[in-house]
Amino acid sequence: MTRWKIAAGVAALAASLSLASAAPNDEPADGLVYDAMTAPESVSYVGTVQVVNIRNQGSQACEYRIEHRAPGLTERTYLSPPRLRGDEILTRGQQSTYVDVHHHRVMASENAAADDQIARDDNYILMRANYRAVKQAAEAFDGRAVRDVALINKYTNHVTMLVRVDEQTKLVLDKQQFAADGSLVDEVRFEDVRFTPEMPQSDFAVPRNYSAVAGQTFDVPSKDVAAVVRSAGFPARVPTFLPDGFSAVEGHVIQVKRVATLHVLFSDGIQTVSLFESSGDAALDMQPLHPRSLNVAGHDARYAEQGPNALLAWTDGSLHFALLGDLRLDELRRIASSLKPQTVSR
Amino acid sequence: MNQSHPSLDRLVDYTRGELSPRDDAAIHAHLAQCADCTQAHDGELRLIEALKAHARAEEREFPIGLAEAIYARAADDRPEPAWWSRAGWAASLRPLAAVGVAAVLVLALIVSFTIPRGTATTIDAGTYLQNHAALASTTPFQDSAVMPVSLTADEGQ
Repeated sequence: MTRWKIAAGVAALAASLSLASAAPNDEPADGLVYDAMTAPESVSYVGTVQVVNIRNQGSQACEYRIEHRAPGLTERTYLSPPRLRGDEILTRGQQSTYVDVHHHRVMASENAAADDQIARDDNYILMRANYRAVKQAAEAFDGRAVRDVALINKYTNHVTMLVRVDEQTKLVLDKQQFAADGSLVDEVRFEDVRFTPEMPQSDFAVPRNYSAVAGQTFDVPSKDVAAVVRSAGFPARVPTFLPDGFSAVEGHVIQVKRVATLHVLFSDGIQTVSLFESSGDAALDMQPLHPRSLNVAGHDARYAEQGPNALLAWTDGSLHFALLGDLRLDELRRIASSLKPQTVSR
Repeated sequence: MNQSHPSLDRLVDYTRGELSPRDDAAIHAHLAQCADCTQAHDGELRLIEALKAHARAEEREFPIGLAEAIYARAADDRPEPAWWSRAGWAASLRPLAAVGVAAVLVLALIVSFTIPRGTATTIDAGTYLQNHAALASTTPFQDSAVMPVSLTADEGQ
């Protein structure tokens, strides 16, 4: 099926759900969720965004000023923490430029996956398969009328995510993610949002007197994960256990300092976890993340948390493994213990 | 990356922070993607550490009263020349200083060649964080911007 057919199909599905869900509270809200997902493609805005990640090992927060001109031009200027103050990330479609004001340099990177509409639609369908979107109370947030939508995991019946959707523009003004016990783990919230297409072009300009360096380039991964695993060039392992609703969605073999590394992404539509595997002598430097030691399937392992992600890394003597995502440590350990040399199937 | 490999001299300057911001940034980016230069850079760091350790091991506290004795000798208008100075031994010993410097250089070379180089490739955890963020960027309500390694590494704790 061609890309546009999939996109059209998903849009039609979302439109039908929009009509079906134009009803009182506690009605399905899939259409509103789709509208919220795609709102930045048509809505321009400026505001301040606060990000908080709460983890057992420690919490992190940052704040940045955002200017977004639809459909795909965004500038983030960090206000805190102090070590990032003044740094900027300019995003134009697939391209991102990090302006490092402290070192007077700009680093350009490109993520072809960011424009992968098929992957977006697949992930939306995966989310719908695993989560119920339920409209909740209408309320005010940041001085604007919003509609709360809870995304409830169909297996656990717990609210995994709560989004506050602006009634007028459908932009998500607040996103909260919860652990299985109901505790808040991540929040991204707007403050002082203002909807306007009037933004000077100079706001999106890259400083000319800075030195330019090339960052990473990320290609579009393959949806045929089983074929990717077979092409790794070493006897790659795949998990025989995944949390309910998770499946392998994409993968590719990347070169990290000339080390062939298998990277597979697993997702349930909201939560994600990556599996990295490599052979040879390629040690992962986790020191900046302040890891702690533990044991995984009889092997010494290291565990660290960074922002919304947890990272578990270990080696079995022949292969190096790392699991990285927004899952709990016990879930990561269980996935790690289930790795076997067999083909992944979606 | 299409950038040419920096010379060893420039890597040494980079290690010592003696490059201009532009050159520093260029080599910083090059090292992130070039295993060979990273090995050379890591080897240079090991060499510096080995020399520093050697220097620390050779450091000795001055004997008590040595400074006073030196000042006293300096204050002496007509110091009595040492017997070896009178005998012309000082000039004959000068080449030994050069031998000492050469020995240090040889030691440095030995250290640089005997310390295991490039036996393990070190991969920054930030690289995995970036790659994960890139693939997960199409997940609903995820941010599509990929954070650079310097933002994903936690330097503040």
